[in-house]
Amino acid sequence: MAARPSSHGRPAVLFAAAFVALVVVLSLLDHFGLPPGVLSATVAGTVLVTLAALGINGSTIQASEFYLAGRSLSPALNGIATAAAAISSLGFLGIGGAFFATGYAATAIVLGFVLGLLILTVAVAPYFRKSSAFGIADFLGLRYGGRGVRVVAAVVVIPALLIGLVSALAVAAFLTRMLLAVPEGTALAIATAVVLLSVALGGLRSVTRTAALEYVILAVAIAVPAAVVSFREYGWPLPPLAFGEALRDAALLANASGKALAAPFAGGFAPLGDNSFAEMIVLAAGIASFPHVVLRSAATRGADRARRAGAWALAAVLFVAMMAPTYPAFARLVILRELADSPIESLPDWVFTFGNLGLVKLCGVAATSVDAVLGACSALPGFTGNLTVSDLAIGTDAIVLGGPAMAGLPYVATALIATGALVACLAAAKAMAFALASAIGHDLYAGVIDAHASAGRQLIITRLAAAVTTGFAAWFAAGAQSAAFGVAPVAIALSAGGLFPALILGIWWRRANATGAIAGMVAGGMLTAVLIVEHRFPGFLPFGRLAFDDLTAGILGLPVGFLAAVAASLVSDPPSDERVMTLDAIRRPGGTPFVQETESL
Amino acid sequence: MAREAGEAGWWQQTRWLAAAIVGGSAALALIALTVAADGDGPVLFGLPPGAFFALIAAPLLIAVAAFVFAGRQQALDRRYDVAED
Repeated sequence: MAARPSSHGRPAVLFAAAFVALVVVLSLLDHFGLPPGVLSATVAGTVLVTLAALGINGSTIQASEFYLAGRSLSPALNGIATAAAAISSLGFLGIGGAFFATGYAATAIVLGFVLGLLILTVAVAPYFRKSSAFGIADFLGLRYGGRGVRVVAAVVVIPALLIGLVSALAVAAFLTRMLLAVPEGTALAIATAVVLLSVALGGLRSVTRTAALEYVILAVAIAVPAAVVSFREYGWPLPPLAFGEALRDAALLANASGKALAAPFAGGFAPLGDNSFAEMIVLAAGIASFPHVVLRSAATRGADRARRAGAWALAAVLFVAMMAPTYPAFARLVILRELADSPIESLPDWVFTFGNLGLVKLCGVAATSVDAVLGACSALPGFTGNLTVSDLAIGTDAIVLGGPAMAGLPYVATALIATGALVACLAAAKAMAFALASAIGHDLYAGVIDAHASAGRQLIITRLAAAVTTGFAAWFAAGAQSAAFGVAPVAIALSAGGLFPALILGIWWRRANATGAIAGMVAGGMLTAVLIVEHRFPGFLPFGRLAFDDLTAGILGLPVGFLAAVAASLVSDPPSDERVMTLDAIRRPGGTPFVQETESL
Repeated sequence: MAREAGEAGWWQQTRWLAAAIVGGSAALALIALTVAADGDGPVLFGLPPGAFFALIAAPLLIAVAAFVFAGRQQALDRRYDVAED
């Protein structure tokens, strides 16, 4: 029997209310001197334990609940769960960091996110839902027919999700370490355990239950500190309408003093270059075909609800995306106004806290202590013992995490925003881990290897796949933690180049066939992968350095994937009548589902 | 036969609606990105008009377009009797 919508939404609402109450209590305790370490450990520990408990509570042995969350979610609930899966560290930390580093050029990321979710809403989600597919490889297999399409799709889906999962776990571990003050390995083990408990025990049911709470936490975490600073500085608690004023005031201060902040140094969360158009296009195509984001459409009751869920997801992501740029603006203003010419000895704690994490530099060295900074600054000509703001360089990774502290808010705001970032990473990691396990256990194993596998066997394989792939991702993240931060765009680029053409043509072009789909995925995916490797290992290609980065590598794979799919479809036989009927059934919102949903399990 | 003709009309209108929403939003996003860095002239909430359009107005319009699409498509499905039960 399908679960009622409230079975997913009600616990999340209750826990979200409890979280807000906890933050209020901790704010009061912060005011009365609760040590920062205790405060951050309390808020993060409570959230992690709650997420783990909700994950365990959602455990199920019913295949329809495990794979599809009972297909019972309301559009709004599924929308915010989709937003939680899509935001990740790139949305939560990367947008602010990119604005700090590149200014208005970073608008490309916001526009890429919203355009991608619009394409998902209009051109993908309702048809994916109507198909009753469990994942992108399953959808492409149903639409085009044949095992070859499923296998090639899985070959693109699995690395893309695995790379995204490695990145999400690495950042989650970094934030867990920062909040709980535990060793690196312990932090990674905690983050991995929280992900695994949800995914392996409850599948999409647990992932959904926690995702609703996760979105509320991350939205509160990014909005409240920004709203407080906005109200303090400009009298209205609407950060998106105040940060322009902050930017202008910061520019006036910098002009008056003749000293601006040193150029920020690039971090892992915002590894974005200067090709805004390519970034926006690849991000849009990548988000619209990101397997763990598309898969969420399967959890609604029908095609119409999948459309409305997509619109809610867009609104929910936009809320976060419009808050993120406020942090660099407010931080820049307050630093220029209040820290310029301060004695080095009296600099606020955040300088050294983030300096010890390698995210703040003064006079060219990491600001690990007053002595280290004094040693470096005193070697500079004209040093007076006071801070020269042009010697202060802040990493792009620190600007959102440290934003509340830089703007002079109490420590509870820093703990809150770091917890929000952690939750954003965990939500993305869980959605990716589930999509990965489902791709292996259902789309690949049951769809290709053993078509007659029982529902129970499929579930066992999927749970095992979740354990193995998440463990592998954690092992990889442990080995290359800082390098793993920045690989999230690789996953998006691979989805854009490898999956988007076959997905879109499969729905919107009747003549597209299996040969074309395979050609599109191979050509687009391979070209994108080669350009990423060339970016990571310069000299890999014999014809010199190319101006692509991890994200913009998809800008060539995308058209090449479309061209290859169209050309190969046209030179091969048209799709069979059975495939055309399948497509017609997928397009039509009403009528009998193409696949008998839970009965097939 | 009549049902097939009806469904053909429904699909044609569905395609037009999708193309209008996605094409319009993509054009809006491209224009927004083009004008995002324009810094001269008056300001809106402290932002140059181009930046305000790119950061605030265009994303909000795209979000509205998504909700408009969901409503229009549902109405279209009902008119052609292909909506879900």
